Amino acid sequence: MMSTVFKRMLRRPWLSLAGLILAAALCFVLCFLVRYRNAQAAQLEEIRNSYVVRGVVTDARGTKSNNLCLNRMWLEFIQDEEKGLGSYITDVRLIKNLESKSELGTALAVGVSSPQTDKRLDAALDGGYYSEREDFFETKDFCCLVPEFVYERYAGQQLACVLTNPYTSAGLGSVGDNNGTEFKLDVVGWYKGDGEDIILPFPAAQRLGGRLTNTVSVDAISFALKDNSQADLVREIASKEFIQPDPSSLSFRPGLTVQDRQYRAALTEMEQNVRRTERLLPVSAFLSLAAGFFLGFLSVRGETRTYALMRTLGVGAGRLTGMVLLEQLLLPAVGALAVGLIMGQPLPALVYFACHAVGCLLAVLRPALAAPTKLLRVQE
Amino acid sequence: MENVLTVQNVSFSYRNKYQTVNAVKRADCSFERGKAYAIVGKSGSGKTTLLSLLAGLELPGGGTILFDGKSTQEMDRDAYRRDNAAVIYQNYNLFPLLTVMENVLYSMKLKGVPNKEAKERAEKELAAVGITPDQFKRFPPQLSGGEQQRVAIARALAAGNEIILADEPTGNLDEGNSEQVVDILLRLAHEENRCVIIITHDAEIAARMDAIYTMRDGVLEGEEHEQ
Repeated sequence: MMSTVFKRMLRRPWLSLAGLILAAALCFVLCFLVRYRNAQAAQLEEIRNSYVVRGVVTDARGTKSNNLCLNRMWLEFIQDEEKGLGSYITDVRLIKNLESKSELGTALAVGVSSPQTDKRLDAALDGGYYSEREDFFETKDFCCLVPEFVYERYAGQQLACVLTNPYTSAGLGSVGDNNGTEFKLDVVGWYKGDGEDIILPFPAAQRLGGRLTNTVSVDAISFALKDNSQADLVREIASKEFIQPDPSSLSFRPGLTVQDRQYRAALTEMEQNVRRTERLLPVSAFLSLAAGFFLGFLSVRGETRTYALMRTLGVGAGRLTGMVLLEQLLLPAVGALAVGLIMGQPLPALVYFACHAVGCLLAVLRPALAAPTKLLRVQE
Repeated sequence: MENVLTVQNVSFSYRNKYQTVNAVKRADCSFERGKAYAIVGKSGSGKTTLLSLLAGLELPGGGTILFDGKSTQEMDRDAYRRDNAAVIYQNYNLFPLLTVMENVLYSMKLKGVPNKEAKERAEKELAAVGITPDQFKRFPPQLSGGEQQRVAIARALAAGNEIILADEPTGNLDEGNSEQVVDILLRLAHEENRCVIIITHDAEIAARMDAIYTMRDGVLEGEEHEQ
């Protein structure tokens, strides 16, 4: 009987082909929409993850973000995980500026804390020592990075320099005596660029600066948000200590700017696209699935007379159902599943196929269960 | 001769769009192997419905139809139609997408007759009804009405069912073809010991049968008239 089924399919090639193509086309619409929606959602997620929203501490007017001379309180608030921002931020970058007079000339000795510099300094100090220290402000590793073009001259040597607090112009001198004795930093690496500044680990710069002012101070603070969607929350928490920068402000409190405008602009557009697609998807999916259902239903319904005739010849209801489903579902299944696999969306393809199959199944109930004479009479 | 079909006080009604139709109000009769019967009557008198009941295509609303002493209500009617009762229709009811040969083979395939044997039987029965081998691979729409009807008869013959029910088998045929079809059906009854029941409007055809039943307004009337 299987051969009869295949012969019937082959002898109406256009109808069979139409069934296959229609199923493939409807399935394509469904798979395309699901894929498009998923792609947009992935893109949205990518934007959420790839954008690094940073918070930058500035003066009250928002005009400068360096040379702020912030005392330890602000740094502690930023790093406090309970009352401050510690739980919401990462990659805190700190800068401590000192004035340096050395063979390289008069330049800044900048104490930095950033992943890139930390890594380089860490590697220079045999790894795991600098960045894992708990006594962050008590380091005694007075080392530095110098500009690339002078590195060869100082590699593995010490650079003698006199450090000065840039805000008071008071001489700092060498560590330990404060009398202008030459102070020496181990040259452990280089940084790319043509400046003359020397770069120190932030704790070292902090310690040296502390010798002068007897206090810890930070000249610039910036950080990245752990979760970009928490920008508003970070602003709210920050508002306890920082003000929103305002060009007309006369406040002595520093300001904090969360730089998420660009991120929000990109996100808003993408979110609108996703929302549009999500509104369109159920409607289109319903139409595709309904079309699949009716395609299955009508393809069986059109053959009711033939199926009724099979029943008069003694084909049982179960056997007829099996034959009809094989005849009516084989090519749509090939079309739908091929599209599903090609587009990498097997689930929508299966859902489409299920709707098509339900349509066929409902339509086959009539020839399978009703009296065949009734159907033949109606057809006549 | 023994009764193959016995109809005991059978009635049947169905509901159409507008009303309930009492198609068969009362039918009592019996049919024997080796005989050809005619059921005559006006259009709408319930002849075709009675034929459907005899073929197991419908169940009687009242009464009983016995096949070899067993009620059709209690048996597997799909198996009954497949193995015991074959129906020939006025409009042939062949599968248009299957060739002449495949149409005849279909009933045998249902019964599980081996391919080779089925093909031999099909060729023999098609030849017996005057279908030439060059027509075996044609499709029903490529044949004339008479040829299609003969293919339908060949299908019933090849199936080997002992009851042949024919609903106006000559209704669409010219005189020559009609006579040929009736001859075949009579031969089936008399030479192959089958029970042939024909519904016809044609008095001449009815007169050639072994017995005639008359259907009047849903009631199967009169005695069996032996010819």
